[in-house]
Amino acid sequence: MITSLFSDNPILIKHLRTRLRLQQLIPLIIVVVLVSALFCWMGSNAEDKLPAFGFLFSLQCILLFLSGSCQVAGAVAAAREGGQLDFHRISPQSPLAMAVGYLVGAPIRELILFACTIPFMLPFFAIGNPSWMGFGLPVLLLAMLPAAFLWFSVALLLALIVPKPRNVAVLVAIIVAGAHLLFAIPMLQHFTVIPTMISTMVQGASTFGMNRAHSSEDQWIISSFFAIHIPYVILGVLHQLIIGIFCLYAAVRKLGNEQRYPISRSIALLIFGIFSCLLLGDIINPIFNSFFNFTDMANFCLYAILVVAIVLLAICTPGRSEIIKGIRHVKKLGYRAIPAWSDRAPNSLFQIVVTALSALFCFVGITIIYYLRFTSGFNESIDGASMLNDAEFIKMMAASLVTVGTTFFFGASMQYFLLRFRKQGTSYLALMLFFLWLLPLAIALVLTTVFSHSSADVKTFLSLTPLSSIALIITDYGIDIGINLIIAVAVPWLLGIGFFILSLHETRKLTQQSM
Amino acid sequence: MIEVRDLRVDYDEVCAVQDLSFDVPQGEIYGLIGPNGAGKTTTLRAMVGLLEPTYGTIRLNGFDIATHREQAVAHIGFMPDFSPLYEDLTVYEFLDIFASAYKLPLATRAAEIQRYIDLVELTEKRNTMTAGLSRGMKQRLMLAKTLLPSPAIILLDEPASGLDPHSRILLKNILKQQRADGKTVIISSHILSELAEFCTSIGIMERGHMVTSGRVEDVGARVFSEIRYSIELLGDAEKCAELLAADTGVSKLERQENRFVFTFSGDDAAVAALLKQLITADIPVIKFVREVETLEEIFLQIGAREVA
Repeated sequence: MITSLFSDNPILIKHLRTRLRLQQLIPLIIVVVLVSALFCWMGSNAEDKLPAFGFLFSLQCILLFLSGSCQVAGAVAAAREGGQLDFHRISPQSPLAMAVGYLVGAPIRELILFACTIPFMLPFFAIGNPSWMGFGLPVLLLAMLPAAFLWFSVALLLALIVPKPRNVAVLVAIIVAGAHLLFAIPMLQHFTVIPTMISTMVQGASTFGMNRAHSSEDQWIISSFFAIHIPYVILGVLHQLIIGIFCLYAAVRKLGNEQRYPISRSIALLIFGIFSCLLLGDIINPIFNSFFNFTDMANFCLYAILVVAIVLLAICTPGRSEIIKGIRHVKKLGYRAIPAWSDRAPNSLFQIVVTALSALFCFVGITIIYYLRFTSGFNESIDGASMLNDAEFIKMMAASLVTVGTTFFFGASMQYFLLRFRKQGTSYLALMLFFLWLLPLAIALVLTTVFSHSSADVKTFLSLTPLSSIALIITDYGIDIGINLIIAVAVPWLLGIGFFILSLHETRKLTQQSM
Repeated sequence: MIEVRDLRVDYDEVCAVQDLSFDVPQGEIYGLIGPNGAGKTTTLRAMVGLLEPTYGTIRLNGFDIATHREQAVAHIGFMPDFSPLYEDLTVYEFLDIFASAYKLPLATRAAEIQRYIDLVELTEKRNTMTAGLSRGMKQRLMLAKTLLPSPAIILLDEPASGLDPHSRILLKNILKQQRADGKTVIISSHILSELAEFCTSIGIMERGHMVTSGRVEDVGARVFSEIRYSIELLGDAEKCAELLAADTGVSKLERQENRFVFTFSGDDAAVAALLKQLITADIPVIKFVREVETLEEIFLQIGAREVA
């Protein structure tokens, strides 16, 4: 099975041919080796080896993650635009073999250049300077390869789903660079192994919710997942592999058929479940010490679940033309309606299930966070433990209601706009979200900064948008269980129910027209 | 060999192909004819699985493209209306990657590739980058790529566009050879003269519908409802004219010196009887031919009907 993916893989052969032409490869190898040797020499002459190693490590990251991902995206985009991808689709090779061809073939030059830099890391590791915070060379490489797989898979998927693939390599470069620069934050530590490892080397392990292993010779730094202590690199590699595999799955579906949705609804629910578990497992971390308290955890938990739910709803909500196709298809087969779980069915059932799951994950997450205060490891280490009482728990549950309502509102409104306004639906939806979600924030900002209004007025505006209301309910201890809370909870639910009814009406109208 | 049933393809809310059904038996060269926008390319792309139909079934070599895609495409060679080449590969390398896609045996792979390079007359360009080829050469290379796996079904979308006269003759001869080898070919074009010389069957499409489909002579007969015959004589045209005028099945008789053209409403037995009558009457017949209408005539007739 695995051999068949690599042997006689036309896409792999194509890239091996074009990207390993010696007249282009050898000068690049010489440049990379010379630059790596220069960094190595800098390190040998400096007391603190960290800057020199940082340069070398940055070069490796640029080669492997940035350049490699851009090559994957560029190769797929070019093949998609040029029509070669269609040729591969109609030749007897599996979509998985095509994906492997792009993942291994397109960045093959970068992989070789990366391999050329590895020997120059050995002197640094041999003398143990800089301090590795427990990361040895094998561990570092073990972490880098799944990270490369993750970014290559992301690049492959993006190149297959963006409407205009021409500039997708730039988009991928921005995402990869952005992820390495911005995502080295503790709550996402297991999703971003490399930036976290770099930051940990520079800033210290404890900041990132990790402890050194007891043995100084032990290469593993210990992290936590649902408060269970597990070596960090293993957790990080697992997280990255899971995301990478989902991206690969979606890309394989698109490689098989351009018109397919990248994920089916069942897989979307699986992704939602797994991501929520990973997020909950990550934030329930007693090693965070005083860096985060329970309310920060609750905030992060709710917003993360909301983002994942919105992304999945956006991916799995069909447009008007798709629904019409579905109606015509079932009409031809003699059925009365499209099966509710079909890709071409309106998202009514799907969004109800996503909303229900969102409610489940929010309530479970909040309940776990609430009961963590009784756990010995937590109430000793987290400042907020003493402040968490039953009133705070009710507020967290109210914030969960806003999160779930927002999920429902987004799914219903998106389906309605796509049904009602054809191709302009997405633009009108974005416009509505601007007015409902961003404008109140802007008004609150203006009221605060320009007019110095009282906090009560500002809070009313902040309660209108879930972007701020969730955090406001959880963290603002002065908020009254009054009008603002009612606004925060009622607005998304009422709008959601309204749009849900409208989308059902539009579906019925469309069915009658198409039948 | 090829079976298309109730095919419908929509682009957004525009119907490109509607309830299309046709069959192409093995060994036929089937011309898919129609004006621009008739749905020919959409039909071909749906047939190879690149477009998902709204509904309908497509069976290629017995395999349903929707349910047994990999088995179905293994028997297809598809040449699109433009040439999506990898421009950073040489002619040989380009064919080699597709030879590997179709798992051509390694022992004979190089020889097979060379055979097809020779077939499309690109021998001198074997090691040239495809970016350096002319448009016609690129089309010929695409043809070689299409034929390389020796597919049972060959689908060609506007294959002659960009070809010079010599290359068109080459294409025609290659297709005739493919037919002789038992291959089934579907070729789409709106240039009827391209198809006239080698198509054995045709399907005429207009606005996403199949107006008519079948063997060229059958379609001609259906369209014109009467079958035309021509007779050429060595001499004694007067006696022949009398005999033909007296036959009740003969109408629209036209005479050009020793050549007669007429429509005949009888069946094949009546035609045979007429010929026997002429021979028995010692009329020196040197040609007795059932006239096949040109594709242009058929198409214009159909087009006129559709407009009407």
